Amino acid sequence: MRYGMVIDLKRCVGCMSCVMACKVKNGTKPDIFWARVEDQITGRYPSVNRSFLPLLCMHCNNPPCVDVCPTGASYKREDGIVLIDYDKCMGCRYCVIACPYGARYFNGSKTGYFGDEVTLYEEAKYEEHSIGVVEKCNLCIDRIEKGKQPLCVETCIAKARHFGDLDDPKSEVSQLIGSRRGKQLNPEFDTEPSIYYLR
Amino acid sequence: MKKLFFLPSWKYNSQKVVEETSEEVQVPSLCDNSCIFGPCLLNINVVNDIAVGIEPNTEGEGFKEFSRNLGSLCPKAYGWIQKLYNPHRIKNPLKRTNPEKGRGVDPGWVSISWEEALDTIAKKLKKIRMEDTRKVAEGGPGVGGIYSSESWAVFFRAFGPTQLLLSGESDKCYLGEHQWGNRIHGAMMCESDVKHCNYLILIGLNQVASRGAVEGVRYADARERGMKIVAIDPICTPTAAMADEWIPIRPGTDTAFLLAMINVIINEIGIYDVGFLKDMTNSPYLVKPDGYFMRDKKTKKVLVWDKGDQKIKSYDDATIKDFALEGTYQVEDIECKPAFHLLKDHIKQYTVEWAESVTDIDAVTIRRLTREFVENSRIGSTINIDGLTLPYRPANIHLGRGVEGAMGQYHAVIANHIIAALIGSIEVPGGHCGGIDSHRIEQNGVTFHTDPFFQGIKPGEDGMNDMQATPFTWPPVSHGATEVLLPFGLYSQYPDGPVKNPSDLHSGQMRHMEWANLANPQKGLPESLIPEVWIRYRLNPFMSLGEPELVAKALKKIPFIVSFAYTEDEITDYADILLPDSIEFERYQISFRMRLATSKKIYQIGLQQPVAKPIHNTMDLNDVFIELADKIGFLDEMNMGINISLDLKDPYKLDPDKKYTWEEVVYRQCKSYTNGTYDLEWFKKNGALVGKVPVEDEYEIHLKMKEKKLRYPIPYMEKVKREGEKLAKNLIKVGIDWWPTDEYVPLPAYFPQILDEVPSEYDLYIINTRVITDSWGNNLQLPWIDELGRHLQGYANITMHEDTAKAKGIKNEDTVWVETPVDKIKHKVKLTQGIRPDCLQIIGMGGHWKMPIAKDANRPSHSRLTPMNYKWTDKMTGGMQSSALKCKIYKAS
Repeated sequence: MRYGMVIDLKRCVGCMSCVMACKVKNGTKPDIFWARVEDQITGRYPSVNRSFLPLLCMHCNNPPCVDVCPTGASYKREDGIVLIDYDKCMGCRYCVIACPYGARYFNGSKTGYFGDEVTLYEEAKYEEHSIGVVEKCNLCIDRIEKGKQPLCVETCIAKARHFGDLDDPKSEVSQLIGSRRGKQLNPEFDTEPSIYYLR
Repeated sequence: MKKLFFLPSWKYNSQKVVEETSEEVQVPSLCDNSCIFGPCLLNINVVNDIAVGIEPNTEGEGFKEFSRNLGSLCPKAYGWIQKLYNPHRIKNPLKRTNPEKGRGVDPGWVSISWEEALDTIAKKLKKIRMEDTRKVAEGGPGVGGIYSSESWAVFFRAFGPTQLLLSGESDKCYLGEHQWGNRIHGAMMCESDVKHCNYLILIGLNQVASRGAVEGVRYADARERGMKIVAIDPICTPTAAMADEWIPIRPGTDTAFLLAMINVIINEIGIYDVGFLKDMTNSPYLVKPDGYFMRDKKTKKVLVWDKGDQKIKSYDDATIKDFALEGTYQVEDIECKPAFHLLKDHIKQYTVEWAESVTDIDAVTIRRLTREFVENSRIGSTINIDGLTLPYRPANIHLGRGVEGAMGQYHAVIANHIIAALIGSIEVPGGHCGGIDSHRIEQNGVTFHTDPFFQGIKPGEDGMNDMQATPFTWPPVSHGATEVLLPFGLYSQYPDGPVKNPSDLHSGQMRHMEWANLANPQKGLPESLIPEVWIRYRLNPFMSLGEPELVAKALKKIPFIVSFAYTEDEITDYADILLPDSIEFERYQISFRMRLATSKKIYQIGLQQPVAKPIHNTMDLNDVFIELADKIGFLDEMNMGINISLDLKDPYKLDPDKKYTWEEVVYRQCKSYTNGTYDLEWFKKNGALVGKVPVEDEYEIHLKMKEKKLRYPIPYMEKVKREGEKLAKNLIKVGIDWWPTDEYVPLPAYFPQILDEVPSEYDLYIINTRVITDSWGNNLQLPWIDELGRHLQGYANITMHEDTAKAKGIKNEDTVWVETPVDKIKHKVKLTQGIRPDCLQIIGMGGHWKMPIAKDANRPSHSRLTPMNYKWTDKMTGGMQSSALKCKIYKAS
């Protein structure tokens, strides 16, 4: 069992639903994005290509963040999901530097979206966070354990995301990677991401 | 509320252990007011009475297949949580203590009770109701409340005729389609049947940003299936990004492209759907040299030439063997030609080479696109869907705000419909759809409703769908004089005689001129009644129209302004009383009508319900109006109006003499629409009911037009010519010489652009566009939305081409002045290659100076640069010229 995701860049329309759904579900602080989408324009007018690249923690099979963590806070589960134990994290941020995908954020802020005025929602959600630690996408493990898909997968208005077991050759994600030649981002880093992209 | 599960003793969001065993419940609801393409079904996750999450509701039967959002949600829906807990909300009714009104002047708000607030308002309205109800002006609802305010229209119609002082419709609507899509094929909005389409040209349409969650899924499916998309747009929008081709057209020239396409189809390729033209359009109708149809002297029926019998016959003669589309025929010594023949000759002037010079799209590309379009239309083919065989025309052109935010849009819309007629694609699979005829559908004991503004099938003159026009009205009854200037305006009910009351008008057109004329009365129009009271709900003319100073001047003339208010904003600086209304997650609302179409029709009844205890002293707008009607003394009329408006059936109709809460009204809706089967408790638990739209309903317009032997009133718009000539004469009679009528011609034509009249020093175009995160601007108070938008190109800046900037000595992130003949704004500029070198991009709805969060977002103001006068108003629809303007740009010192 190794959980992974396939993102079909041909279907993605850059609507940012995944970014927003992630933010609201996880109650992340301002400027922290467990999921994000890069809006890129390349080429010269009029031969221009505008594309959207959804990014999140790659849940690497060889996660450099885990290797550099001095306290063992960052770890990989047997199902491939890379997590952070906030009680062990001391906020050194080595992992932030080590992650080649920019997926990790340091939560150093005491304030929410309305400055010092913390809303009822923020009060409830910020309990799930610790200040002074690093955080990132956890593939919605609470949803997975209830048999649901990560929220970024479910909300996608282009149905560009697929989730499943990369180790199961019959799973939708494995089939898509095989039939559409799914690629990992920057395979040269040798981190073996669990997130694949279809172009 | 449905108990789903108990959270374990620790939470998973990363590994922090949270010692709690709170019960999480999921409350079904919907997002209905962030755009016009909902309502989208969702679940709200609630813990300890606090909303902590939102997700798509996919649990009900058919929700994934048939609901509006198909099991997905766009970013706007998630914002409702922050909207609920926003600390900037108005928390109590407030009254002004400082009589001086204006931007930046502290109103001196003090809290008052709801009783005092409603008593004060009721006292004023009661007095006015005895005198002249037109002293009250309605100011809503805007898109932010259009579907949650069923009682709004009922209240005001029961109150009496009022004035309308509205907002962005004339700047933001698709007026060309509202007026002409409706008249031609019953489509308030024209839509592409993307489920079956293979080749789609989008012109000035940022579909990704403006069509909600539903179209994301359907377009992605269609693209994966192989549908080709060509995006014709000055900007490489997200829609252009997903397209197979991006073709950057010169702003404001879309009509030229469409006219050249017609010419290529008819006079170069020569392949078109002859059967469709003969049977379902007015193409065979004979036209006299004076431009009017040739009619039988006795029956007054339009005549045609039957090639089979070589005879003149009435258009509906059952013996006709073969309609002539071309040729010259003598009828009573008058030389007549079929309408199609005239189109064929007329369109020759719009050569591809001419179009190249106008549009900046090279001739080879125009010819190639046209050929691809015709080839993909599969003229003559049929498709079998669920046992029903229909014509199959998998090609379409879809116009957007680029065209319909500009003058001359009538000709673009008509040209586009003529192209659809040439390939026979109107209201058939794969083609040019959007029409709705059935407004009440019974399915398995459930009554579904559709948007009443869709005209549908309406037999009119000469065997065609009705081209209803309004008799000339003088003197004007509205500040904008829509009823004087627009014979083809939109009305809630089309009047047989002159328009009597401004509230008879549909909310769509000339809204900017209401404000402009109230500020500075227009020469030649009698001064209209200045409202004594304006009641405003979720609209903001400062942001969505032009020239904010005119709006401010008009507001200052109104002595008493009541504003439903979520936070303070630009309008509240002029208000006397603020009423904090409950937002969508705090109240009951049944969303029962299918809204403005997307490419997917839906049958859906959904519930919005409170997710938590009220956190402020707010009140549902619907309950406010019930209270006011009671205090003023017309509750009985209000209740009877609700019965009609909500289509309540016995025994669920309201008793005229009884006072209800809105929750009780919603209960009755639930029972009434389901034949008594499902009550409010059922909807609270399950959220919605959806039904499958059968194929005969999906393509009902085509089937009914065939059944009734009706024709689409194109390509020859004889009635437009007739009404235009009448209008010209009437305007002379009343001394109006500033409203030209030369666009009222029977065949589509290209008129010089107003942009060409702007002095050459204004050398660049400003293009106005949207982003999906805040496409209607009613969630700009949310930090999440602002933060999210900043991930999108062009969101918070003026965007321009790198090469143009370099030539002007402007660098990335420089602060610049952008100046139009109206005003100028100072802002940062971002450089890109994804825009025409002669264009700037400004995302709409920026420029707030009062609304919390939105004012700090510091987005450029498009409205400040936009002229608001009759000259810059479209003469056929009353829309503002706003999607393209001319400007100059220079570095700020």
